[in-house]
Amino acid sequence: MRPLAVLILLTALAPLPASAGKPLDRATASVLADFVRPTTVPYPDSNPYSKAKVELGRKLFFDTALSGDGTRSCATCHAPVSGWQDGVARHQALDGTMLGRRTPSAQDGAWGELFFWDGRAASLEEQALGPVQSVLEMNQTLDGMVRTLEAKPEYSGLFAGAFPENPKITPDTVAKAIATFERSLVSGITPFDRWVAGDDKAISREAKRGFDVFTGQAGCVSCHSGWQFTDHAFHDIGLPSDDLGRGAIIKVPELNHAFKTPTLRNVADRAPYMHDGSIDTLEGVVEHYRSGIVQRPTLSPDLPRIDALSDRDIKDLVAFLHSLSPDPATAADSLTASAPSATDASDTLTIVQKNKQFSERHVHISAGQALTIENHDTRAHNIQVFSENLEFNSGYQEPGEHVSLPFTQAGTYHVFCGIHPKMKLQVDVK
Amino acid sequence: MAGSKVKIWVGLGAYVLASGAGTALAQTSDADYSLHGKHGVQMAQAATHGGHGGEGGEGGEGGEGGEGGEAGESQALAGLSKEQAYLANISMIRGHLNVGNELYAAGKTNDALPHFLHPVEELYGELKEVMDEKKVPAFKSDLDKLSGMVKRKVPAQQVQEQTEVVLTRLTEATSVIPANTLSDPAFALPVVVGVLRTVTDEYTEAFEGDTIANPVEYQDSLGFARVANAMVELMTPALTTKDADAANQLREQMNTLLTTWPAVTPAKKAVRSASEVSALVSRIEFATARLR
Ligand code: HEC
Ligand code: HEC
Repeated sequence: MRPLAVLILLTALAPLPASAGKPLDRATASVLADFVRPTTVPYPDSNPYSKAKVELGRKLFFDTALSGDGTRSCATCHAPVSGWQDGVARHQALDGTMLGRRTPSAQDGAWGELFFWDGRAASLEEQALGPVQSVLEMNQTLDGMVRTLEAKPEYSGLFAGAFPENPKITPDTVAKAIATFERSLVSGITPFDRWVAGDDKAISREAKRGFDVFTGQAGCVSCHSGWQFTDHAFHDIGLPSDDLGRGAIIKVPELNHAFKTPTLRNVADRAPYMHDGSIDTLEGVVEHYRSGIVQRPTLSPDLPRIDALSDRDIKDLVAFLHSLSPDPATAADSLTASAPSATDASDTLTIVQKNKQFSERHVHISAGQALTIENHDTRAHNIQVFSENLEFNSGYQEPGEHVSLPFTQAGTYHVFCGIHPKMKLQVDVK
Repeated sequence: MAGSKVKIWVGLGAYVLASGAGTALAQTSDADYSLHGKHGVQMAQAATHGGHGGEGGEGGEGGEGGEGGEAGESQALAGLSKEQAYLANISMIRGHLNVGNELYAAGKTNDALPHFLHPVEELYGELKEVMDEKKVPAFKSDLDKLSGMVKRKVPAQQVQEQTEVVLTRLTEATSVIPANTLSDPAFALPVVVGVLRTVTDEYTEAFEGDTIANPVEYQDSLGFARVANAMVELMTPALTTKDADAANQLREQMNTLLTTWPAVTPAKKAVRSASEVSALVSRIEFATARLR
């Protein structure tokens, strides 16, 4: 799986690069208008943006003090290298059983309406303390959390900076800081975004045909709409699972088996799929819509019949879904400590892997810069770092895929391939 | 998690058992071995038997400067007969699957990945010559299926099940060597030593300066040490008959060696330096010399 490239941005998102290639025809351009990536991140008045709050939230998000036994942080399940989720069908609960549902990505939450698969939290602030107190997830009391954080000297200054008018460690300030950090996690610019912005060459012909199928015959767009590809609503799409989803929350049987329409940004990198992680591949998802729908009265009326789709339509549809993953050039992982501005979004050093070698054995970069490693080899690789300041594992990196490594702190790092141990790269960060 | 570790370990032990135990102690096979100076012990190089010095690395992706995987570490397996090198490579596949499954069951699926890829990408090729010669049915597709499942991150239970399938294949592959040869310390101890030298090599590779920087190499060395230990355990009755004192020493030293890896995921600061491990392995080689 390719780790996701994610940009952290301040209030303004990086503008798309000036469009290259031939402009789009007007008809296409007007359809595409619905899919334009926004240029600013919305922050609520009740919890406005500040850099100090984002930084505090980031620290909390990665702090295991939020769990009762000190073993888990939010990032244990919402891991940056896995697209702010965990890449498994269901995460292990603290009691050794499996959680009931798959971990969704924590990115692009700034635009969310209701949170969790069943929409039971109304805001990111409300959501943040849920996992902390869940016996199966982090099993910490709010009092215990406050006491543990108070015992760590570094936090008092950070809370003072983030909440100057009320510099106290409380469940409320913790939740606000985490929510602000989560809003800063924005998915990177994708080939599809560049196509929408007018670069006709940004995506392949198959992907364009796939977009036609997606918005036309297959009717996917009736639920997966807008730049995030979600209507933020709840639908039963006929998965065999027993989970009642939204129906159980609002006690409306018609909404049994209904789950929130997930975003499709970065979808190719976020297998396995669905609320229960029950489908392994995108082909499998499309096949579900074509032939796997369990018939029952609660099925969403928006669900089209697509059994007439040809194999080619399906291949194109999948090609289109792949165009929703971010570009190497914008791939600064959101671990980057300082929020990159529009200009340093491309502040990335790129090297390649070929013939079981890195194109460089030793590189120098500055803190805050990212290193992008593109696989130009005929075989898969697995990028890893195991250093004091950075532990990173890219998972399986197929030929053609890239990995972006965030280097936020000065020091010497040893990057290696888990599959080909002779592939080594030293990174000196100043 | 402890449960699944035990499960896989028992599975591994049982398969080693199936292939090694219950067979009469045969007379000495004249398989040859040599210990090389690199590990601090210099012994006479015996004439090679069957004309094959265990150039396990040739033909594979290995060799100096190449893949650098354990299969390429022909040095560590130098002096083994073709059959002994074959057995050593099979043991190393077991070692990979052991740590791979432990990591996978702990939810560390990305960390587990290399351990499911190495057997098929590096070690399987090393088995080919003997497999062809002895008409062992190919099982690459079983390994591929396993690594594919790990790539797709299927539930741990399924990975364990497919691992059991592969372990069965490995047992079949081992069974082409006569049981009385397999259980003969003169044949099997050099295999243990070859695997342990690989342990030293991999463990050394795990370091940058004084700290562990490559968890994969660390885990390789752990998996191989565990398998070497299992082989010693299974031979213990035979070894004890031969020289109870030496057998006891060997087991103690193996146990000491195993404390090098307190957990499957390393801390940056190691329990033992690479040279300490190398010295321990040398002492184990000495202990085995009395038992062959
Ligand atoms: C043990 C794994 C685990 C941990 C730890 C964890 N989460 Fe989650 N997270 C999940 C799962 C599973 C869900 C989906 C649950 C559901 O929908 O019922 C989820 C859902 C979410 C969502 C909703 C996303 C959406 O699109 O609806 C957000 C936001 C979130 N988590 C943030 C956090 C924060 C903040 C923390 C730390 C305080 C955290 N998580 C800790 C597993 C985890
Ligand atoms: C009726 C609304 C609806 C329609 C139409 C629809 N989807 Fe979905 N889609 C959903 C919902 C709801 C889910 C999550 C279901 C669950 O997990 O229970 C989902 C899940 C997915 C996922 C998995 C995403 C993830 O992160 O797990 C993909 C991929 C997907 N849909 C693609 C498509 C494609 C392609 C089409 C057209 C063939 C389509 N969808 C049509 C509502 C819809």
